[in-house]
Amino acid sequence: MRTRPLLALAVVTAACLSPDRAEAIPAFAREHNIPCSTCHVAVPYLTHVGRRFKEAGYRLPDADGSIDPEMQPSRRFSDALLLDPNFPIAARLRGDLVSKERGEDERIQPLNEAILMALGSWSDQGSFFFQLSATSAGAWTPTTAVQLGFHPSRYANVEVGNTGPFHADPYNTFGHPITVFAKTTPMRLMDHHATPTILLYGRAADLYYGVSLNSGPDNPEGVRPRTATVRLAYDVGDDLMVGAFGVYGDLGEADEAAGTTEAGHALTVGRGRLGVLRQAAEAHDEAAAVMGAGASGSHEMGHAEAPEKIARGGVDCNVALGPVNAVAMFALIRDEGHEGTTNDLSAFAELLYPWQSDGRPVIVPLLRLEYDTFADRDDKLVGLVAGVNHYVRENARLAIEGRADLKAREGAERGWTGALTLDVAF
Amino acid sequence: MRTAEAFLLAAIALAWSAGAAHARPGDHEAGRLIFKQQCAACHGKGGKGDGPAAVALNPKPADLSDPARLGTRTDEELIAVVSKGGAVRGLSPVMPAFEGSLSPDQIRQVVAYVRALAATPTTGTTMKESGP
Repeated sequence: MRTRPLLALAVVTAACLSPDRAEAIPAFAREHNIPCSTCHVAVPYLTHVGRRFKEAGYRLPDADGSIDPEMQPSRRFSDALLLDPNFPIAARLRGDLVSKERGEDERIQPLNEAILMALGSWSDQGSFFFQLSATSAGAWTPTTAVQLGFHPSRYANVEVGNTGPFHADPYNTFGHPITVFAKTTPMRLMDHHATPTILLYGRAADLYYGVSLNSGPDNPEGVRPRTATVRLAYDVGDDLMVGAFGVYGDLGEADEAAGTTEAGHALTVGRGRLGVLRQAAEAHDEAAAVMGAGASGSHEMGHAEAPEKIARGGVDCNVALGPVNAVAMFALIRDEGHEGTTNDLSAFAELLYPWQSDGRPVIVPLLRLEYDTFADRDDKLVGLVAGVNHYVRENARLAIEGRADLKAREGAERGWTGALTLDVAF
Repeated sequence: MRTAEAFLLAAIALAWSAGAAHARPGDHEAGRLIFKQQCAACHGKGGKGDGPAAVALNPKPADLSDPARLGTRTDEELIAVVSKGGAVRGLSPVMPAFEGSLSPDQIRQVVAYVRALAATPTTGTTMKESGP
């Protein structure tokens, strides 16, 4: 049974590396005749230009931030509908080379995650994002994430969908997962977050803001969970950003039978990768091993008692120190539930070194340290993620990554996971 | 008298036909639109090398509005760079080749527009070099 997914991974890899295949660059770069490194430090991490492109709804703003429709290559079907001439699509396949979770035997899963993603613009002011993903944790259950955006001005943009409140965030702390091991701090921030989401964001000069309101379905007690987020980030030149964020939510009474709230369930519905991770973590104990640190963290982070109110906030920064890119985030997590209030800390720091050749990253090593406390059980976790990304082409990335507990739960065995990932974009 | 008129008419016709080979009606507008979609991301709408992507590029895109720079280039050279990419003339390898995405006519229109940006005259180019 293992040979089939392994064969599929090998075939896709071979297709990408085949020497007679035309040199392909992803659609956005191809449309604007610019190299990928214009927008990416190392795909998918964004540069200053890439952030502006994303904020504008996948359109390239002029140097002064304005959008000139004549500069946007597109195939126009009518005044209201246009499409990118090269339909932007990306795929990710992931296999675990070896995985060992606490107290379990080592195991190999040649293919355990697949993600298909399409994004772009659909009108002069409209954008879309669609993601279909599935993990093999227990069963191949597909999850979808959809977001529609309206971008009338760089000062005010609106997005609606189920991808979460930070989907539009252009910085590398919240999104743009360059490792398969999700960053624990953003996951903890968004744990129990209600969806769907309506998001207002924009930029005035070098200040980015984002405000979102999120509301899930009524829970059995008739309480509709609501959460809200606020985000501010300031660009100090092209190479330094400092930001702050806050999440507040009233989740209503806990659904004891499910061990979580409806808001927590809402979180699991189609929130893309994070949704998959959480869903799987809740559904299967073994998923923690499959998903490595991110999911393991999520699983570990699952509260024995679901909170009724959450108040979370912190600061983050993105900085380019010569060739080294650093990303860091620190958050305070305050949850209120039946049994009182807990105050936790969560932080991570990540270093990325894009080694370039011919003006594009080729080998990109990465190191990330994660720290989390859990007041409810007087415990803490420390994790280390290390990886080497090889950009075999501008549109194909092969990554070998590992995640290990430096400090596991009290009395528990330390776990570790090694993964092989292939990303391809067209 | 008739001979003089004939010479004059022939001269006008010759001059018109020579000019028409390089700049046809509508070329400027067509070239402008192509330039904005295909070139302005790096070179900027005014061709000054200050497009939104320029900040991330090394070497920086050329200032195509500079008469001193464009004045030393023939149309053949410009067409070759647009068609085959920057590397073919020892320029930036990031400058892509457009011969697969633009027709010879479109490349000629872009070159004509770039000439207008720098206010430099054409140098008597034909499109034979740039492809079928």
